[in-house]
Amino acid sequence: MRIMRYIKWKLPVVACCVMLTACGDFFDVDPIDGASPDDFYTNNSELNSVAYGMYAPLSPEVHKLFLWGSARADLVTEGETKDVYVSEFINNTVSTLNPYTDYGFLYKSIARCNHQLKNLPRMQPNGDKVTATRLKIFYGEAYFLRAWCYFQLVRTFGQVPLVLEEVADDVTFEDEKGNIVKMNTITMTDEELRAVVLQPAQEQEVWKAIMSDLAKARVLINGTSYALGFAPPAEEPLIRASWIGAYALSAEVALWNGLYQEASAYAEFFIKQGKLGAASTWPQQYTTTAAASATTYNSFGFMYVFEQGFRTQRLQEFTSPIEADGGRYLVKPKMTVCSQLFNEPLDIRSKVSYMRVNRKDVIWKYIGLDEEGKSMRKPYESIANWYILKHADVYLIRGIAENELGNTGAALEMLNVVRVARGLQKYKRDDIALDKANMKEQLFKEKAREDAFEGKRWYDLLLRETRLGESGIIARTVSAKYDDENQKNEVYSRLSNPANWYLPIEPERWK
Amino acid sequence: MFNKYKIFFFCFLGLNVPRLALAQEETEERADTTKQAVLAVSPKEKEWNDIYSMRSMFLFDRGLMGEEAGVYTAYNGFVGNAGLMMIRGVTSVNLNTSPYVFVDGLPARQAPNVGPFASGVLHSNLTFINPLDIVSMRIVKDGYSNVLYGGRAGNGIIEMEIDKGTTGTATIDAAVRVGFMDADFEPSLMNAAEYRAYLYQMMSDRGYSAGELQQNPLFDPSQPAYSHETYWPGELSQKGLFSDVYLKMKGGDGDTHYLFSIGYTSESEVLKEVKDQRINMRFNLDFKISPKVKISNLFAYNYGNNRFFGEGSNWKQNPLFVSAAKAPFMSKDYYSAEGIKVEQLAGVDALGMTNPAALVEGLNNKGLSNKVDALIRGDWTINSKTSANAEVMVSYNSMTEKLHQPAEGIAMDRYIERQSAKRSYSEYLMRWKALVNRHGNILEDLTYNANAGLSMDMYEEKMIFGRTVNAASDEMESLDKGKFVDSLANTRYEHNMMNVYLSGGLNWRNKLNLGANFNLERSSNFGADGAWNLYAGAEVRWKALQTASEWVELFGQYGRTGNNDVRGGYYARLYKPAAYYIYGGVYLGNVRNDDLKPEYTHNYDAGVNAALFGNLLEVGASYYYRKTVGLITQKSLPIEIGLDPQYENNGDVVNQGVEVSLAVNPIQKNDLKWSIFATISTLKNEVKSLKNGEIVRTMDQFTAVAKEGEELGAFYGYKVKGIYNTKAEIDVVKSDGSEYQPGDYKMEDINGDHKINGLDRQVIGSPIPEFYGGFGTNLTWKGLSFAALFTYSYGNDVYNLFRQRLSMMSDYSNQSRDVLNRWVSAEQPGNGWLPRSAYGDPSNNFVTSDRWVEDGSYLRLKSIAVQYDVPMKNRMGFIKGVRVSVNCNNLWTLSGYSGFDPEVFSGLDPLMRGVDCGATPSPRSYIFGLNVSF
Repeated sequence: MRIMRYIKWKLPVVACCVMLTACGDFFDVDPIDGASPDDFYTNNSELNSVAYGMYAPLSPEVHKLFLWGSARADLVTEGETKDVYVSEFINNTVSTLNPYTDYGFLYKSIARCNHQLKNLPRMQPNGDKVTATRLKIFYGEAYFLRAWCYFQLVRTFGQVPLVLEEVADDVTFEDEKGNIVKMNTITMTDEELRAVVLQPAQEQEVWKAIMSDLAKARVLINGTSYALGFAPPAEEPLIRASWIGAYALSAEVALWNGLYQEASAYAEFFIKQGKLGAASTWPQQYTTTAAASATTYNSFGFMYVFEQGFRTQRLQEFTSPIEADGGRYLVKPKMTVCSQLFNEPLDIRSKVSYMRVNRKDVIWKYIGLDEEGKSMRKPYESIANWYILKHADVYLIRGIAENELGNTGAALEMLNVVRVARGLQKYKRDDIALDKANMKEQLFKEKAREDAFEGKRWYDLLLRETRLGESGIIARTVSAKYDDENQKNEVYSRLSNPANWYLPIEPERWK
Repeated sequence: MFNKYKIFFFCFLGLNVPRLALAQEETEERADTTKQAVLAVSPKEKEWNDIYSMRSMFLFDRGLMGEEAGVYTAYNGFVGNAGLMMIRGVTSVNLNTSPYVFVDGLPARQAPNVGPFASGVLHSNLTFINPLDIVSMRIVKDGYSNVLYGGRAGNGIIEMEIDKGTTGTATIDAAVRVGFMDADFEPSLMNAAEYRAYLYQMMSDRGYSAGELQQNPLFDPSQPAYSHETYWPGELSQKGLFSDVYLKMKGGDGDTHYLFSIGYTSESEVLKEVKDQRINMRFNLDFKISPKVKISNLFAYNYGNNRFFGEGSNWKQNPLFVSAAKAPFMSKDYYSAEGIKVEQLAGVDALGMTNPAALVEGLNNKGLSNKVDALIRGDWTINSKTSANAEVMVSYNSMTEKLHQPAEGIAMDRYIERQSAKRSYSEYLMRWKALVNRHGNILEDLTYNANAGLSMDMYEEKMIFGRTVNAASDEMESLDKGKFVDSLANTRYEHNMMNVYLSGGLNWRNKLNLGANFNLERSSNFGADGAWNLYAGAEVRWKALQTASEWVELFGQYGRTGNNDVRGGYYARLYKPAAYYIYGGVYLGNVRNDDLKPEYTHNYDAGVNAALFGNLLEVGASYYYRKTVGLITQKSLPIEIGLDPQYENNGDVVNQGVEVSLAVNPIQKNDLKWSIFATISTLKNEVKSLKNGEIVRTMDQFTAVAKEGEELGAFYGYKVKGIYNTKAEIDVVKSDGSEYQPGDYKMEDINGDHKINGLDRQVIGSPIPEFYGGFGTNLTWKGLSFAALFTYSYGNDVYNLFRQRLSMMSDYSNQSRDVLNRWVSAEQPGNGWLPRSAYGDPSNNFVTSDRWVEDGSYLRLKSIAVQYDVPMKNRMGFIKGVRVSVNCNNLWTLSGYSGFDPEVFSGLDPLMRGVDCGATPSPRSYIFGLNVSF
């Protein structure tokens, strides 16, 4: 009877207790729509996945780079459809309401670079899992991309928060009493986060961080080929950090910091490795999306693919006049300025950069498939490549640096290399005045032709205005795109104020 | 409340009526159960009967509203589609808001937890329940009872019991029902001449010269292709048909009971080509293996198939919208240049618009479902005071949907010329549960009842979806024929759960009842600090008066319930996919949140139930207050942190109201019985706090909000204060700083900054009713019975998106006749309802605004049913009873709403309720039935 009672009452209780304690695994469910970071950092392929994730926020947002760097300058004007926020860039009246000022995509990328840098030490070189060289390249890649993001930020916004540690999970900081405190990030208020990690840094501090990152990148991404130290897919030299890309960016950054010797040296190093590509195939980097032509002329940029997940950009929407193609025709080339710039009939670049199609002036680089203005991309397939670091720019940067150092002859040599590569005649010493000012003018003109509508023109003007001693050049150049005198004067006076050279932002608005 | 009345109905109207002896026996059994139920729990058990099953013949849930206070439903005429079921308000912004249905203890979701397959298409998961199989139903609204359902009970629970075998000779019931449905869905549209004039103006406004337009054959009525007068929506309507065949065999002896039932139901919608068919089969076998041990088995299989169209806001595929927007001077048939009609459907027209007939004929959208349920249960009567039971149940539900859109006659949608999509969805549940019960006396007048139990649930949901586009030919329907993959997705969600139950009650002289329920739940949906959750409640009931025929009971209850339906693995640090070029990357998407918990609802109920004047009057009145705390919402961090928004518990919402049920039974004679009943429920919903800010969701031109101080899901937009007649009147600019034009809507500038932007949005309506319910009557005289039910809803708004879309004047679509009175110029300002026409709506006149908010209050004659039991004086041998019946639904509706039907359903998202996308309305139905018992 006792046994029966035991069985009746105690057995179920014991069984329950056993079940309660034994079901640890039962409640341990792995979500399928995510992978555990704890399981990562064991082989090359996982590191690669995290690396791709670092670039992912950037490529869909290149229309912002277009607005920041091209729309504000002299070659671009309003299209036939008005979008007030686009017009604000064209007219340099950008307000904090403007959604295209949202720089969150760059900080997403920075956060992911910081994540990679924090976690890479978990991985040691391990035979066939990952080689020591490969591991170094992963470090270098994160430094390179973080540097590029800050380079973009500091030139566009001036003072920006400098985040160089991963802060997604927790934030470590020193409190008022001097104690080191660690707090869970998602439990902190915006004010707390702004106070301890997101204080805007001095511009000089940001530049220092960029140069420090690039110094590491140049050493870590060390390879004899385009870059990655292994046999990469054809497009990887373009869409990822590379050795020469690190040198190209270093040259530009050095130029911005007045370090002309360094700028020239980095560029020279690049020039030894790289090549400039032939004039005859130059248009193909725009009329096709082929990796071969893209990597012939550029060392960093973004590529797109429509038929696998619609990974596209929005430049067709901004520049195409054809509604059925998803075009809104918000921007178009300023023809008077363009025709003055592209004043040599043989220049192949003028045909591909802009075009008159069906009685409309259009920026052709993002919609065209030929050099005659006949064939365009299919509706909604906005997949033209976007180039960031261009081989020709490195030659011109070296020219600019040499010119600043007083070596006008060396500068002319660089200029001529680019001209010849684009099918133009060399400038002879007699053709142009060989003074520093004129040489600078010629170098930047060449750069403008090479980079037209690619998000660089504004920064070139800013560089000249703030670093190369050409006071008033922004106001002069940009106001020249207005035919109306009143507008011209208004813009001139607005851009004479240095405060208007940087975009305003209210980060809280874009949360 | 109405138990007696229900018993009465069961007895006289139940399917088994002809077998009088058997019916009585069952009635006695049920009366006992019912008495216990009245004493032990407050929610009323609803005895199912033929009247009820006929009201909800399409799907059981379509007949829920009206008789039971606190239950609000809204359905459209889309056959087989889920609808809105709301029990005592809405408690969540981001989680499931529909009640779970427990069928013989087996939980089922109302609809798959995946978005609509095509817009507005959300096939009901509850088609596996054949209304004719149901014996009783209980809508569990109060928090105290729902404690035992823990984290699944945040939205209330519907329990139902399915028929089983009984002792007695084998009986066979056969039922056949056939009928038809019709509905009016005829928007008022411009005719050919009016439309042609409108089109002319739209095209000349876009810059076409008079010369170009004169050359354009569209404006030449003598052209054979453009000389028609077609009312396109009329081409799509039809009489819906309903047919249903049902057979049930049951019987048993003292030790073994069995039941087998099979039903086939077919419905076709009032919209051409849309239909839903189901086969439901159940088999159950109960047997005693010893005097104290009973084993029960159940096996059920359900099959369903359907054909559908997207009747939602994807306007390019909504057949009704496509037809309304089509040029009326065109024909569905193709005409040659010589004017000869060719026997083939016309293609996409010169305006780039779809041929609605080609859309209906060409779209090949189908669904298929299979569901298998099995259950084994053992009941052990240990002694007179103690019993135990244990059960294991397995349920597998699989649903496959496909969509194929050919190119012929259908306009291209961006890059999509043709498309094929397929989705497979499955739910698997294994549930194990054991309970021990002990009851007895503590003192002579004090009895107790105690339960302890444990259950384990293993649930898995899987979905795989693929869409490929632009196959080489219309004939190529399979996914692999597409030129490229448009989208691919697969998800899997696993949820393991354990519950430990303790519940008990004390009863003193049948006057005072005290009860307490505890449910300790562990769920795999949460991290370390949120995994264990205690749901607990208590109640007190006091019979203030109790005589042989009258009683008055007061009660008060508290219970905490929850909503644990959180997907996404927020308890874990997770990498999420991030695509770059053709490569797959990852990034840190979730940071670990161990604090995340279910959304808890604190439920307070108090009220009175009474039967007075010798059963003449039955009344129940109660007040409920439900506060849901810890709403799961997204927290956005500063953008420089670079992290996606993360979920956390941060927000409260309150639902409260009064529910009153009333029944009067003026005549209670043997041959003649008459009763009248009515229910009314009020609902006041308010979002009390949302620390992460308002939550705004948009669907097409519609926007809704969850905002502190407002009702959850309130419509959010602008108020139109008139139309600008002259430039001088305009003192505001658009959000982007550009200028309005005369003829634009004058939107209210609530912050007075002379700029119309997001800051000027305000709450302009709410889909939540102020009060709702039903009333009706039941009358029986000998074998003849009559029942009527009216339902009503008051104070709910409807956003008439369909009407807005047909008034936008922003492209070349045909429009509602309202546009004939639009603003044209200061001299011709129209009737003040519509602004100027403007291609592309550059002034955003047609953003969400109060112009499209209408009062959705209605009173509806939901159902009238007449049944007659044919007298069987000389029983014809094997035929034991015959009944004929007629049931009509939705015969009459009183409403000021201008759309097809004030009862609209636009999705289960609590922020997308009350939107009319022009789905077909609930039809009038006329169903004739014949039941024969053998």
